[in-house]
Amino acid sequence: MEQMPAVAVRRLSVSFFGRAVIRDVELSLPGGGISVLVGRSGCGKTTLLRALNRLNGEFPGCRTTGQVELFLRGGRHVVYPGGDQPPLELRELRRRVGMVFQTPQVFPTSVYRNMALPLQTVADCPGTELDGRIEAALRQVDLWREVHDRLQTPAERLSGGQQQRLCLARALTLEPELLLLDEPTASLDVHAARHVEELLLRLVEHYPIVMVSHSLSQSLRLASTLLIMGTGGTSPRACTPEGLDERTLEALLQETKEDAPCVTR
Amino acid sequence: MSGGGSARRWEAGRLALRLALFLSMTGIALLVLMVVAFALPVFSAGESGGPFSWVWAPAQGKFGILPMIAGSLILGTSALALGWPLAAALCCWLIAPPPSGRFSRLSRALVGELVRLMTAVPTVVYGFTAVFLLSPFIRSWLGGTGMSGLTAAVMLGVLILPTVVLVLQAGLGARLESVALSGAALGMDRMEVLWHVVLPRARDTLLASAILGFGRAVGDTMLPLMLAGNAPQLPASPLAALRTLTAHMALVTSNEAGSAAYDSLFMAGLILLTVNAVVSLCLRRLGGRS
Repeated sequence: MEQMPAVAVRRLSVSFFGRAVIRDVELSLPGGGISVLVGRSGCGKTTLLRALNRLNGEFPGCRTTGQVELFLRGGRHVVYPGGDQPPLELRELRRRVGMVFQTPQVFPTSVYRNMALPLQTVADCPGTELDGRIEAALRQVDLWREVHDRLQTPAERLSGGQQQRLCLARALTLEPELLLLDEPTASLDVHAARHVEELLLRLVEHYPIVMVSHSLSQSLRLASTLLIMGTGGTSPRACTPEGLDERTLEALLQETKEDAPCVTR
Repeated sequence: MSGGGSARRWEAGRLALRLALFLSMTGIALLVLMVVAFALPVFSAGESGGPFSWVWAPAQGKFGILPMIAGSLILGTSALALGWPLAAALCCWLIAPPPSGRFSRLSRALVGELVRLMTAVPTVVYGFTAVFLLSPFIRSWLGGTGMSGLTAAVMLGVLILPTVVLVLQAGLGARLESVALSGAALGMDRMEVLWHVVLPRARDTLLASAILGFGRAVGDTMLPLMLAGNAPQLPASPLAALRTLTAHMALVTSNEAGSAAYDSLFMAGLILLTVNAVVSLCLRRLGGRS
């Protein structure tokens, strides 16, 4: 089944203080399923992921050239200035493209406030809808049952897995149209990681997902498209996980190694 | 043997450490003991001209330092009321810039550097400048002599500004950095994250900066001495002159020795010491909690 793309990356280069991290990346990501970016550490996976919601700009010394096109509701949108249309406004971009990080980044406040804050500040959610939307998002990540009677406790008291699911729910309350996940299970134990994986397989029915993963076995379990990045920060090679096992994937990773030196930041 | 040598050096090092500890502790203990010992007789004197009365008239045997205590508290509080909100706003501006803009980054770097530089300005320079600039301004615009509690409070507010900004920046900046990226990924800008996430949880830092600012303002001698007019009275208005404990001690020590007036200074010293001890104890408690 041929799908509409969700993301198209055109000649994208990102550098920090003049050092190129990714260069001239061309990429097209399908509008459904989980696209998993794999590659050696420092090869620019996270930078490429963060380029999709302009998050690299939050770091000093960042310079981005090229373009990222997102195919969201309402058609094609560009992420960076200089395209044929004005870029998506930052707040709208971040609302429509949700992101979850490697370590659970809960706010040091209550579970409820963690969920309510982005709704109030970013989505201008009316107070009457707040509780309903929070409950719905927490149910989506299987967290409602566990926290419904302690919404006012500090979010930091939840377990690592619960915190990560809270972060996922926090992104989901904003009703994103694309989810970016940066190694979402890297800091979790096996059990919690499996729980999040099952969740992602369920969520992908509603949202296209782009994720970075360090674990080859996880990539093979989740990916509908595998994107293998070389060490030079060049365009990743896309392939389907069918017929691959960890050994062959490892071999592919070796093969994709570039001559260019590995760039770390 | 090298093993024996290193053991001996270790022993010598430990001895030096103990000596340093002993010397500094004894120094502090002696200081407190001396101030208390000299202040006690003044305490027990107890007649109408004693330190806890409202009239300072050494010629008539009246050594009341209550006006100076009130002066210190009034000046410390008003300096804090003027300087702290300014410093808090400045700190927020410094640590929460909008995502882009070279000019904004540059101006923030410049202002941040200036604030750090301000910590190194000797207070006498502030005082000197204010005598020629602020004091005439207040005299002509608001009335009075220009040497008033208000003049001193404004300059003390300026004096404590960098202290408060740096304490807030250290406390709030680190907390903001830890949540700014996840906030940004949700579409919140840094100011929103600071306002909604960081500040509501930063009561300790806000309080610590205020306590430190207050301590600095109460402890300063030169600015009240040069600007507040030094009349030993309870000021009737912000434009009236007042005298602080610190200025009082400086004034009396410079032209008295061994008299009853001189003795009453130990009481003033004890009170100042107590205020500072309470300030640092408060800070320690806050530090321990966070």
